[in-house]
Amino acid sequence: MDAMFVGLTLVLGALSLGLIAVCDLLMGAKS
Amino acid sequence: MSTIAILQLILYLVVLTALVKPLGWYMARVYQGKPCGLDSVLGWLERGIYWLAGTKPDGEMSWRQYAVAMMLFGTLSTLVVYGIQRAQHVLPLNPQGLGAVTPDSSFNTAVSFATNTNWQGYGGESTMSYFSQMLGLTVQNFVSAAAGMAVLVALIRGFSRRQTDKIGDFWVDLTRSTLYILLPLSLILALILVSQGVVQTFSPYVTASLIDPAVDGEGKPLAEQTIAVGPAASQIAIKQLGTNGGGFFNVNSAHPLENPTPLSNFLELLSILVISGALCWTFGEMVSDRRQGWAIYAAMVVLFVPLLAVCYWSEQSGNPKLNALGIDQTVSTLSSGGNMEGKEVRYGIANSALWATATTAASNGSVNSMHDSFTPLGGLIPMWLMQLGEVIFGGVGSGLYGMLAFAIITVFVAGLMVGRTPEYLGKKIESYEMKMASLVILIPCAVVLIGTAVAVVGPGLEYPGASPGEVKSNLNNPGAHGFSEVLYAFSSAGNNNGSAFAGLTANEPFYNTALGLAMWFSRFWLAIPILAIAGSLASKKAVPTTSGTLPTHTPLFVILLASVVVLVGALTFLPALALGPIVEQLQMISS
Repeated sequence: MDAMFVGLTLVLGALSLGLIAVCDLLMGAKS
Repeated sequence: MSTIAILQLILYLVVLTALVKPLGWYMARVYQGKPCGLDSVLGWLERGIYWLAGTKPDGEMSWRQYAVAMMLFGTLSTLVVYGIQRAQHVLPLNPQGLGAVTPDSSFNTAVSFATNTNWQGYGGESTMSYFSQMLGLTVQNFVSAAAGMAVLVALIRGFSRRQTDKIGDFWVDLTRSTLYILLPLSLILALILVSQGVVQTFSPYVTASLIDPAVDGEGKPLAEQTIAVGPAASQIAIKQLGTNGGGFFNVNSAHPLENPTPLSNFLELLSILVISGALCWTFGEMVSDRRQGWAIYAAMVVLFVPLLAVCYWSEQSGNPKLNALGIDQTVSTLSSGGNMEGKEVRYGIANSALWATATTAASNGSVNSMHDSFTPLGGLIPMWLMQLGEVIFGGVGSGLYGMLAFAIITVFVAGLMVGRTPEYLGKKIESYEMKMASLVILIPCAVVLIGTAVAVVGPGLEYPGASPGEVKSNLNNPGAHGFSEVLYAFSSAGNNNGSAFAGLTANEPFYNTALGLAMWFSRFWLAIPILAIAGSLASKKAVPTTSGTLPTHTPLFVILLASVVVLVGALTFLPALALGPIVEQLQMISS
């Protein structure tokens, strides 16, 4: 169970970094 | 309604407004790096932290670097708090010998405190050791609040700076928020609370002999009572100031050792909104136009006061079903009258309604009465305040950056009306800012509605401890009120509030996980687009004010902004509210 929740936290962190990348891409497309 | 009750509400708003300018001025100096008084005392500590962290006090980051730093900090914070809870049985400061917290509850609580939500599925005194409370939860009370303030300051710099890709340094903003704002205010408040009788001790729980012996649930005689104590005052101070809300004890600020006197109640209430309100002034100062800050503050007050009035009126009017039972709900010398179920007699209706409204207007979530026992209309107000996006004061930092996202939407809508390119604070608002602002508005709405929908189609209603054939639900109530309990839980988690309607058994794997996910997305997936807006705005040059520019410091803009907030909230949540508190109110009236 510990591995599952630690893994879930890391996945959420990675997804959030992905959102940063998407927002950056959209900004690049704008300029 | 009693005059004294209304005077208390007015006094609260007057004192709050009086504090906006001095505290806002002080915070502006902190964030602008100007001498603030405390820097001469704590400057060595600030410099030491930068030296240890390898950061420079005049460091600068792009919005991407700022966002990555925030996310790394949030993820690491979650993992540390998770680890502390899982290992608390082998860690020190555990005089009660409490065992490790379950994995799903640890995950929920770790996300909850790292996201400044402080939803509590657990009972503090029966679950958390002093070590977990102090080094896990209280530390997050400070730094998660500081992280929200840092994101706000980065956005303000986006408005005030010209043609740059730098919006400040996350670590510097985090450190200065904690060191110069949250820590000193918390120290002062904690000392005052101790003077009022709030406990602050490392001693084990106290056992007292009952004056009037009772029997337990199984009929066995009880001669003693265990009274939970602990280092509560230090946690309560920052729980209020940082709009965290997580109580030391299970019943939060309804507990006599957490909120013992009328003065402690008033100060804790004031602490809920004071930093969020004062940040409006900080905003105006940092964009070099204080009228802008007052306009945002005015919009918050314009929304707050009518909702407070409705909540107070509804609770003071009482419950007609209780009248039918012969229960006296009229105001008298010795009674505040009204619907007193779930409320402390020492606070009465006015201070209970004010707390419920303030704690949900801000993303605080502490309670001094049980919202589940409010009248349907009275309970609708706290729920809707959360659903409006926690922008009416809101969390420290997060409330104002949410409101500024609404301001961007508002100038865009106004720009469409008059056929001009929308501008705000001298920056053109274009499609990119609108896309990001839309994400900020829509993500919490989606999280709340999807989460509630998933819960009520099955997994949120099945009690995991029930034996085969046994009818046992997570809900204490069937029908509309039961739906309200689920909707409230997701509204609270999905807007980083943390208060509970109660009546819902949420400390089980489904709710612990689902609400944990809701809290994560509604915190970080809003902060990221906000930082993207900051980066985009900072890179723009200022446009001169013309006759076609919509003034954003006028009463017209205040009303327009408040209307946009209400319209988005009403259109999004009215159908869901109709299934819960609205139909329940109609049922109450009709019967």
